[in-house]
Amino acid sequence: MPQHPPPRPGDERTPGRAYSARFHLLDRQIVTEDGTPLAKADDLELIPDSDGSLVVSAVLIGPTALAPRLRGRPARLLNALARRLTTGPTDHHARIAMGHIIRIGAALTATTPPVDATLHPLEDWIRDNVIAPLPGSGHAPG
Amino acid sequence: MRLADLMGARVIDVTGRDIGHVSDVRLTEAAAPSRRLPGLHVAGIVIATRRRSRLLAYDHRPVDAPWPLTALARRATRHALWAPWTAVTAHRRPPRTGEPGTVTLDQTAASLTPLRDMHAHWNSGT
Repeated sequence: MPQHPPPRPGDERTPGRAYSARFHLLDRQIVTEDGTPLAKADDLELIPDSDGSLVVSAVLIGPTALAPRLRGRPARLLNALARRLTTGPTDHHARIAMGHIIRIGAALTATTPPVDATLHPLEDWIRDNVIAPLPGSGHAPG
Repeated sequence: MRLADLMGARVIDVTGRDIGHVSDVRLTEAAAPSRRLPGLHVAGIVIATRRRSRLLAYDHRPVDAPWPLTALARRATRHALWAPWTAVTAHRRPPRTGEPGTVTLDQTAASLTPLRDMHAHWNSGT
């Protein structure tokens, strides 16, 4: 079920390539190798290297990751709302390790399997506890 | 630490002057032997010196054509500066969600490279 244009040959991550974080990574769709949409890149996790530089260790996903990128009251409102609705630890962000990102192009291609319980816990909880009990929900398309 | 702590952060030069905000962060792919950790390293920051400027993604590489976009890109980046990560002496997280963090440099704004001077170099490499 490919739902995204196929990657181009030059999208593979190779040493020496450079990226604009805002232009090439943030808000990009993350897809699996077969093109199935997985998530959207809401933020990046950075860890220090021994030489003082910072390395991208993971792509962060979800409203708690997105909130700090907004400014002012909307950021605090989204953050509070996301924390209120979260089903796991409030300081936990859904993440895809950068090692799983194999291509950076129009979309980020990840090797993560599409059914990953840690990526969309709130969606999973709503599907199982709110949508599924509704009469007829088993016949819904998609 | 998160990228959101850097994006939009106020940039303070060595004299303590607020010279703008972080408009973008440039990342480079490093090979395993050259660094302890392979992967995407923060190469530096693009500083927008205008309060409302976001540079419209022209901070990544120069726009060569068509000419109206070239003119717009040059105009958008004429005040922008480039600071390599080695020039960053400290970075503080935002005090609360929704507020900007702070990045401190070891140079003055006058000694930083204008972004337009970096474009040719970047374009040849990426």
